[in-house]
Amino acid sequence: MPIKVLLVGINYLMNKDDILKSPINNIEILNDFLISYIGVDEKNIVMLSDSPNYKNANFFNITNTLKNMINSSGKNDFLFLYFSGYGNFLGIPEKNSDKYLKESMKMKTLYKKKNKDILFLPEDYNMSTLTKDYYYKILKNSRSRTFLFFDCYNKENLLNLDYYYNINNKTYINSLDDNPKINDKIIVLSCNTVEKKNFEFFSKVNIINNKVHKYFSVFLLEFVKTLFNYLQININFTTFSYKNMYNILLEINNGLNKLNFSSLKKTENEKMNKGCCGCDIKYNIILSFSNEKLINTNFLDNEANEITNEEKDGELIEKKLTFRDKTLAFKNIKLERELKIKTKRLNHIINKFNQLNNKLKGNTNINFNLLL
Amino acid sequence: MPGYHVTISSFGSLPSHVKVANNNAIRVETSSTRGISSLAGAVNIIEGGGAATVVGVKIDRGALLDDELKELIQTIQQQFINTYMDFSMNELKTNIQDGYLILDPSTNLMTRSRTVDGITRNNTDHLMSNLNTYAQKIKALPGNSDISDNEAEMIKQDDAYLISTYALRTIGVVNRGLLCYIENGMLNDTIVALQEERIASSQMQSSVVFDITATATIDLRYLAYIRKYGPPVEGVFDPVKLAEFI
Repeated sequence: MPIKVLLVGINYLMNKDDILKSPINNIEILNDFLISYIGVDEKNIVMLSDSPNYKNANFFNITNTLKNMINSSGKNDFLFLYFSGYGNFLGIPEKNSDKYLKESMKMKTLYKKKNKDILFLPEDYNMSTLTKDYYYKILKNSRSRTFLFFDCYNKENLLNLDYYYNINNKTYINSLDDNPKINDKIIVLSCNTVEKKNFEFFSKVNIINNKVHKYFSVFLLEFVKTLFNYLQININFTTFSYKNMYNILLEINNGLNKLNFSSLKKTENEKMNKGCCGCDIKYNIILSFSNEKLINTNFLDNEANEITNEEKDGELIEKKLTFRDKTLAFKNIKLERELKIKTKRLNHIINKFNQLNNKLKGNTNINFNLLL
Repeated sequence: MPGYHVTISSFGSLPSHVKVANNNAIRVETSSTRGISSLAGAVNIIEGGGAATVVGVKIDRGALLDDELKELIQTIQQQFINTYMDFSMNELKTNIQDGYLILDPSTNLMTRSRTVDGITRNNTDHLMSNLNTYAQKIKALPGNSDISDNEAEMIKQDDAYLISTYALRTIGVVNRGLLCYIENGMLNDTIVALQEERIASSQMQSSVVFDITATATIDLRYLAYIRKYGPPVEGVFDPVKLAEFI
């Protein structure tokens, strides 16, 4: 069951004032994690970025890669798509402010009116952006189960799927909105934050690839760490459903949303944060599904794999039924054999009895009938 | 006035409204009024567009130039033409704007300016003033007779006349050259100022500003989009439609 991966991480290096520091590192650490711990074939991973080391993450390259992956995948495949960068434009700065004057002179600016339909800004965002409709259109024809992971700064929008867990509210929602139907194989994990300081942080060391002194997305690093810890105990994800993922996300969110009392002692810090989660929400984490059945499926499992499992169960039942029948038949034969033996013995006893009776009473005939 | 005409429309700096008639000099007539101050570096053509006409008078072969004009031309040659020919434009600019150095007999010092009638002027101003005065003086002289009616005749004119017209043309050329130089300098200053403003406004932190030569290219898929759907609204292509071209 091949897992095909697209990792998009854009630092927006052309936009000097609003460069992000982590997306390129994010896709690198995720790439290492997928290869080393999940066993994804390196050939099945495509990385797009504005780093000179990778192919450009512009609109055409992203679309081209997505289309190729979707067209070449079937039920046996699992698509893992990760996007890290700006989720939306930064809005318009105040008029008469220095920022406004400066931005108005730029050829490219991220300070545009926010568009509620935009989900991700590619490298050439001035030409085109990735919107909800775009994802609907692209993913509509996917025959593979697809896990979309948006790890973006300033992203407030969602791909409107009908069933979703709101991690902050600890709620499961079945949306009654008349959302356009995508297909029933999509799972979306989305972490949004609108404060840059909460989006990325400087990490001295990480456990995945030991690359030190780099910026990473706060959420991604926690997520990968948790999966790593899970794998240490369970070896693989064959029993890790999306429902389990929800529980893990709850824990991560509690940790992330804790208030910062780092100046206090550790015990006091914990005391201050006790029962206080949610009062200072920094991250909006949503896990959503296009089909309710997906909630109980396993992470990274493809559709074909589950069909095989069902088939396996069927075979087992058949085997068991056959075994039961055989057992019953065997028991039956055994009983019949016992019956024959017992009948023989009984006849023998009757004969003996008759002989004995004849000796005692002379020629008196007594008939015994065996009621069988 | 019938006579021989030399069009000097390129004389941006020709002394204005010069109209002279003299037996041993030349007569210069302009069809429009021009400001002489252009020699000082600031073009001040009050009414432009007209062609100046130089009308010569017949001068005896071998006749000398008028002493005063000769002195003026010599001064101009020394202070302006020579520096111009040496491409010492800064010196030329100094000579024009601040005046050139001459020995002031009253103080026995080399100075760039002199005070006459309580008014301090630099030497270039004096030269301009003298040229104007000379022109006015020539203008007031009795009328002359024409020397020729055509180009062929002009060639035959006296050496003195040719020298004088040549000298006047040269002054114009020098002045025009200086104006070009000054204008070029001003444009350079403007460019530098604009660059600085641009740099300051965009807060470029690089200490070096590079000249970048770039070739603009456009993906053919954008052209296909425009051909099919027309230009994008607000310059942003619809991603769903754009994805069709892959």
